[in-house]
Amino acid sequence: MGKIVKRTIIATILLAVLLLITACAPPPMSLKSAFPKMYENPPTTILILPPINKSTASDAKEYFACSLSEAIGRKGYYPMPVEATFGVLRDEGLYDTENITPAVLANFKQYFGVDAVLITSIEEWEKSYAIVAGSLTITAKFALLSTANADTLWDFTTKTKVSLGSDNENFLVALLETAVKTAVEDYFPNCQKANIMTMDAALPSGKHHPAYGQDGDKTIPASKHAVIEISK
Amino acid sequence: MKNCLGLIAVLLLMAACAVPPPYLYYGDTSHSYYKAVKKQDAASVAHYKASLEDVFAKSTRLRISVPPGLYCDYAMLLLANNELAGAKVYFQKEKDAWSESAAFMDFLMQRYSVKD
Repeated sequence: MGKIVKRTIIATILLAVLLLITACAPPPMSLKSAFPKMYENPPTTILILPPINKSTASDAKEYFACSLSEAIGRKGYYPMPVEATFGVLRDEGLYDTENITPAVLANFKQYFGVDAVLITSIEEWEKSYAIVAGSLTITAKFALLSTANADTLWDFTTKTKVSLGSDNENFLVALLETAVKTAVEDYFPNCQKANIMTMDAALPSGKHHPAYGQDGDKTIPASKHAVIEISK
Repeated sequence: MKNCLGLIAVLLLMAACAVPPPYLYYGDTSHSYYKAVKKQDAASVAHYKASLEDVFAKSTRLRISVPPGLYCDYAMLLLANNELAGAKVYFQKEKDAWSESAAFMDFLMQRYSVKD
């Protein structure tokens, strides 16, 4: 009898803890409620501004700059051609995204027909290496700003974890492979995949996408922050 | 009757397996663009150019649009090679394929003096 009472009490406590955890986690949000402006006045053309690199990896900026256009294009938007726009921005002294002002945004609208700009900030690009396990962690913040009034239309943060370890059963070979992989890996495909997955999961579909106007009920974390795991 | 049922089964199986074609095909263009930017040598640029041509050909075969910006990227490569007439053709192709690019394509054609 005592055992049964004890088990009932434990079960009740466990249930209460579970309910508490569930109650604390904010419920996911629909894309439409998280980003209403993307549905009220959806942008069509997006200018990808040169990414802001706050990490210590000098290559990170190019990885993002060269892969974002595909990620945005796949979601049904018209990304302004990166090679041509970066050339113009360089020549006009606007290559530093930190210096872009609302007046400059208005000029993008007036002269190039750009509806929104994508600002990307690379917060973290960390490689770690431990015997036969290597990994890369990328944290990036994204924001779409309207060129009409500099309003934030969409914003999202992603932390991507890429596993770089070797699965070779021979310990010495695995050790060597992991060290080589971590040191000389071409990280572009990882960055490209992370950007495509981010936009696919969190950016409402644009005018040219088959799901345009139909994804308002799709949910994202209320924190507007997601973790993506890529294993090789 | 048996043959007919068999045929229906095969048709149903085919319908279930049919995957809708992609609405855009990018091929290897992003990665080869990165390599061309990074290395800036003739081989990488030639590889990037070939990857764009592959997308143009495959998109035509699949009867889908060439992804936004890629005709313009090709025009920029031709410009770098001083092929002004060719560049103009590809700026115009971008403008025709994606009407929202019109203002920027006109600006680029003016800027690089390839407009009539």
